[in-house]
Amino acid sequence: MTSGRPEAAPHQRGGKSGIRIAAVVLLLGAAIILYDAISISERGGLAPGEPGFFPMAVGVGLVVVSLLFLLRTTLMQDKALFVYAAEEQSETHWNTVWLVIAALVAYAFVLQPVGYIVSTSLFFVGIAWVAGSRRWIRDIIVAVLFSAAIYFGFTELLGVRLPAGILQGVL
Amino acid sequence: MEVFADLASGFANALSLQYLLFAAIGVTIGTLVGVLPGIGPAMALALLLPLTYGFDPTGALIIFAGIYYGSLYGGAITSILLNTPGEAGSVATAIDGYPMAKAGRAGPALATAVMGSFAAGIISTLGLTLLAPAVANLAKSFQATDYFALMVLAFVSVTALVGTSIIRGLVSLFLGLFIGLIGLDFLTGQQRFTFGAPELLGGIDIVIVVIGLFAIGEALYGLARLQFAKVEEVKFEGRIWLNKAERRRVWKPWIRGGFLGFIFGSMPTGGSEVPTFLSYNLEKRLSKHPHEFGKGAIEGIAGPEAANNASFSGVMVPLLTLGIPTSATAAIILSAFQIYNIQPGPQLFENSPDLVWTLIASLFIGNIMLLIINLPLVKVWVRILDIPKPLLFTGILVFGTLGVYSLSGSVLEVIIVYVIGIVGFFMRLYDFPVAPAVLGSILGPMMETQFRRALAISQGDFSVFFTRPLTLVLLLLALAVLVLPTLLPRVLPRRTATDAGTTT
Repeated sequence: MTSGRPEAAPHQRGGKSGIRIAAVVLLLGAAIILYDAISISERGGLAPGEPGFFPMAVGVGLVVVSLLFLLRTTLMQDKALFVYAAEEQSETHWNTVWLVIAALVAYAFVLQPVGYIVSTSLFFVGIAWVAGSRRWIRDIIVAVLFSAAIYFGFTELLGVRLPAGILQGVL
Repeated sequence: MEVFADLASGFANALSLQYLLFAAIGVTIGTLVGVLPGIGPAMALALLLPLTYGFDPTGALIIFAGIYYGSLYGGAITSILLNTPGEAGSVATAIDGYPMAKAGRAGPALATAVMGSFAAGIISTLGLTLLAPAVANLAKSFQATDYFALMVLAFVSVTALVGTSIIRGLVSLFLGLFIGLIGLDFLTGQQRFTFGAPELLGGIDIVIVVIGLFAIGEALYGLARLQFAKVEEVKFEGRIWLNKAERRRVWKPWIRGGFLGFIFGSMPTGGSEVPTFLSYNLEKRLSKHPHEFGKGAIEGIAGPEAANNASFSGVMVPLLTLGIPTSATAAIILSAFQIYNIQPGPQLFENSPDLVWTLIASLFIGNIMLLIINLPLVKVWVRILDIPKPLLFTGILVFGTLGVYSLSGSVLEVIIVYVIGIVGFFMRLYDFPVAPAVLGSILGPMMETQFRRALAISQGDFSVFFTRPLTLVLLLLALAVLVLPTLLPRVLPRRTATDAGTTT
């Protein structure tokens, strides 16, 4: 292996806890959607043909199937799913997942103020590092060329506007 | 026949030097993107959508057809050499393709895939040519209740037939329906599920859903497993062309796969998963060498690859004639239509016959381009697999972000695509099918429109859904699709016993 990180050993937690957390998060999300659907129905009317009917149907439906899914992970356990999830989870490097998600959020927020070329180059090098690449010079060269090529290709050839950001005066 | 005269005029349009060049570019870019591990046709189209903004509608659609065929072929390369199918449709190809490649027969495996795709593409595009005008004619008499029932059938079949669990399929479907409802109500203008954000008033574009679920979700999944990845890449070497014994074994599966793919593709079940697996099982049953299946039987590539390609022309039937997309790929093509203000449906064949027939002609041309450009270049395409994986997945994230940002110029939509991508990652991790979510988000609003239109016409009388024979038949069919898979094993106890023996 190219990366010598100690936490790279497979997680042996099994699929149960992760999937139960997913089921609970799903149910919470469904509850929020149902709550919003109720307020939509109060304003728009609930009868079929009125704006509230479909949101209500979706909200109720989502809560029902989320409950069923929670049931399949607790009381009526879906064994095949647990085996599948355990295998998938043991092959998932969770630190990478969280770091990539953090990088994505940061990228979205700096995209406009910092500009496309700079933020994309930084994002590219950062993700490559998180993913285990340790060849800095290659990654930086690729990142800068790649983001500059996209920037000029899109703004000059396709007429799609991308933010120049801090390079405003230079470009 | 009239359709052939129409098709000929389509060819006359598509055969201009400019459009031929577009088709060649499309096929090349499509292969380039499709050959990246984990990228299938739907994702390739979603990622490359921004590239077509500068073209006229016909040119853009020709590039699209090229990208589709190219990415299909690219997907076959990764399935066979890396055992990483990019989409459900090429899973069956990997079952026998990868063992063949390991045995040093990667060339014939790829040639079977490409030539089979070509043969099936011609069969199914002919099918589209003959069937589409007839369906469009028939569809003129369709009423709102019929459309509603058709979409119910599409939802039920994608949820019940694709994936392993109906509950998880329904979760995926309802999440998609929720996304589809976000925005202004089309009749009253009331805000729904906008959570106070003005950017959400216009709703969430299907391209965002697809890029999120496929591109961002898939790249996240790939990055997360990179540290443990133990992909055995097979080196490509040896002959490409089929020898005589192989040729004799593949032509029948090609033809059967072509018909299966077209027929199942044109039904509301949509997509390529069902026909490719049907074709695989059919070939296994009909083959004189059933013991070779799973170990590198060439029929196991010929049939499913043919079905995979043919299902695309099949999916174009409901898309062009009814305006109903039944697969993720079709959903992207529909949103490309919408960018150019083209509304597919029964009127499309009357209002823009030039566009339709040029598109159908370009499907033929895309198939031929694929055969003459891509097959000889296979050794070049294989080099793309040498790109270091961390850079590759990072590139997918950057392209996905670019696709969304260039579409809207809004940071909130970029955040939304990331959220959808993270949801997609967990759906992948816990075996939730994503196809129902994609279809739900695009068909949901259409279904609501037809439902409310039907009720407005009948002045709130629900009986319209049960008195019109066509509507009733479609709804009963949907019920059958939903109930039969759970009911049949109980009626046929012996099958449950064998199933239980194999699945647990």
